[in-house]
Amino acid sequence: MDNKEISPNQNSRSRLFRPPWKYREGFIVALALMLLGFAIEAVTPQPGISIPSFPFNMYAGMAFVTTIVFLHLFYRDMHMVRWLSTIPSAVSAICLIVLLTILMGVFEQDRPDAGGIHGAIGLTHMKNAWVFLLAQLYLLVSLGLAILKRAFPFRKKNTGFLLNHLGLWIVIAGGSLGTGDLQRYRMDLYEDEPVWYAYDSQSNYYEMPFALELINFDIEEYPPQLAIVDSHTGRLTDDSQRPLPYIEAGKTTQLMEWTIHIDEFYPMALPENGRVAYSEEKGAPPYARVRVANNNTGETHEGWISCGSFMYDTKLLWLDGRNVLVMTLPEPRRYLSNVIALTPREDPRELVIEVNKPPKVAGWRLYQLSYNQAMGKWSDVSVIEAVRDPWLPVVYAGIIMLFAGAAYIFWIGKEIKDEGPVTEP
Amino acid sequence: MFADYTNFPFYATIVSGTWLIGALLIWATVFMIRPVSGKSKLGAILDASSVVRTPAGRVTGIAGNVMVIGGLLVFGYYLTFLWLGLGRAPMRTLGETRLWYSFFLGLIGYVTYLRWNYKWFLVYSVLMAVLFMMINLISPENFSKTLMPALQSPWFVPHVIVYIFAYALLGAASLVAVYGLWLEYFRTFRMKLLQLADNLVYIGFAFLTLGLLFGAVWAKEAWGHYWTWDPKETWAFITWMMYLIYMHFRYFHPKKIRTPLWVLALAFVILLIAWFGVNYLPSAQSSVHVYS
Ligand code: HEM
Repeated sequence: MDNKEISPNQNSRSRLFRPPWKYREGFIVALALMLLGFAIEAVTPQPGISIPSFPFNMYAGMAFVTTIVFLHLFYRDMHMVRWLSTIPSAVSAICLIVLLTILMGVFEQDRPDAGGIHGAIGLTHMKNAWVFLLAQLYLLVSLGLAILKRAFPFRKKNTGFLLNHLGLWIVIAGGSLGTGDLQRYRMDLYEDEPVWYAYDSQSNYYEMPFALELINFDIEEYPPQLAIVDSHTGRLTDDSQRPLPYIEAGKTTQLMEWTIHIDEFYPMALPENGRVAYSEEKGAPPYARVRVANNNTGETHEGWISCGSFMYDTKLLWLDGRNVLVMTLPEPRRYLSNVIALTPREDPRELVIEVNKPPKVAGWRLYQLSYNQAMGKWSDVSVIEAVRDPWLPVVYAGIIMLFAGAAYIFWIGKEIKDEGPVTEP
Repeated sequence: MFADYTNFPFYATIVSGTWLIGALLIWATVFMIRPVSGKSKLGAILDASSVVRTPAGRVTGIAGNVMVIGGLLVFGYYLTFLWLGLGRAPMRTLGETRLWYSFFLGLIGYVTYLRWNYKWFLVYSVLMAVLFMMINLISPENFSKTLMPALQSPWFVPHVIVYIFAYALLGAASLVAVYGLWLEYFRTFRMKLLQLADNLVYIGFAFLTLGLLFGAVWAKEAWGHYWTWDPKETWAFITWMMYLIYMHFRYFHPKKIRTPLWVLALAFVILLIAWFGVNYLPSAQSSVHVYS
């Protein structure tokens, strides 16, 4: 690999760990860390290592930063410390992370009890395996020393470098340490019942600093669609994958050889004395009154169709001996829970918890997670995930620096250095 | 003077027309040059820094720029009135989402061209933008087509757009690398080529980083975690790391040729796995990124 570079010390090629250290030493360090990680994992009883919670994760972080600063201040003339801040060390750390990530992609994850040799050395739970932790530490030491080397004395031309590297350092370190304080619990809410308790994936219960009371859960839906189904196969008669027409009152549309006119449409309705009328009752499905004419034969049909609901049957319209006109189940547009949040200190507050729009209560973000799917929008239960992540601002600070770093790279590109005469082979 | 915002075909025709013609005019100026002494015409085309444009080239370039800017203005006008007319951000349906793809593909493509003078890139951006507009024209039904709730996020559009750009630039860099390998093994390699690859990688990598970050922020907003190491994310991360290796290696060994070229070619293979391959991995069945 090195054959084109003029090394100041040619015979170092044969003597490992003699200065100057280069890639070989880097890969040996990475390999050693990997074996060490596997070994620790194998001898420790529980799978992986979990990051401690506050304040111990903060102490660990401070100790780590102090160590790196200490190395930089007092030992930077030591060959190994200087080498740690160079590209060969960085590249070996990145390669180790890449290797472990590939292994993570190959082995099924989150199965620490899967057994086998790969389970014993941590490949089944890479995210918190010892080997992954050591690899991250190696990367962070290398990255940290490179940052310190460039940051003091500060020079303007290093801005881009610092934004990218410090931003990444903060994201990795903050993200990892933050898992120690990340709380992620579920709350099952039933209508008109304040709930103060949440449970985790092992079904341990916790009292929350707030209560949620479900007013109602709702699914806003897109209009249902019209489809013609072959009653023999149960599939769409027209398999061209063309988009199906949405049902709207007054619309005329064409499906294969049938012209369909929609006279009336109710998103929620129930049959009543032979007619269909708008209804807000529980389980009331959408209904549409349609008139269909076959373009070839002139044959006409008319009637009410409905996709039904968990309480009511579907209504179809037979077009001939084989084909039926059906209404598809409407697709969801928004899932939302209307809740009242109660906290000891503040007044009760009405909130909407919606997918992609998690509100915040007492430092917890609330995510719409699930509902009773059989009952659909009439579900009387809503499952909320409550997440508390006090390290969020730290990680976001790093992310913002990375954003700025990316913009910098886009705009400045590679600053062409004076590379001297180009050697061509 | 202009038709109302519901007349999308009208605007789409104007914008597609001005963008396509404008981009092609700009691209045509590549050939309207007078080589500086001692350079072949092909050499001059590959190395835009050492050419002199003919007067015809200059006029063509200006005309092209005017058309592209005109298209941008018309599109911006349309989007503004669509937004006002609907009384909400037009970001709810797949069709509306595609409008934003088109607009930002054109805009960022043009900014990138202004900054880096890659004329092919402008043509590519405009073609992609027009493609998205055509999809909306051919199946207007899609305008009201459903967008699943998890995708109804302001992060969705930027996330996809920057990936489209990153793939194009990094793909181009890898083409350069393959060409470079051929020159290196069978002809004579010129260092200029690696500098071109570097620049493409730097810009592409910036977009790739933005894509990763938009994705992480979005995941945090939608599900409460930045990163779940699902297969798509895992491979996206590996791809990102491969380009990091290339950039750092190049910085440290500016004179080496073969290793960076091979790394760059390999990185693109990984990128293709991240893009297409993952959907076929058995472990991807639960991925949030596999849309049918
Ligand atoms: C966001 C990701 C990253 C970007 C965009 C990035 C970019 C760069 C660039 C452009 C340089 C050249 C220095 C310059 O032009 O001023 C550089 C140098 C360097 N990078 Fe990175 N890098 C990233 C991540 C990393 C990582 C993960 C490491 C791992 C430890 C690392 C370690 C280094 C080192 C050691 C140098 C050389 C510093 C020196 O010799 O002064 N970088 N990086």
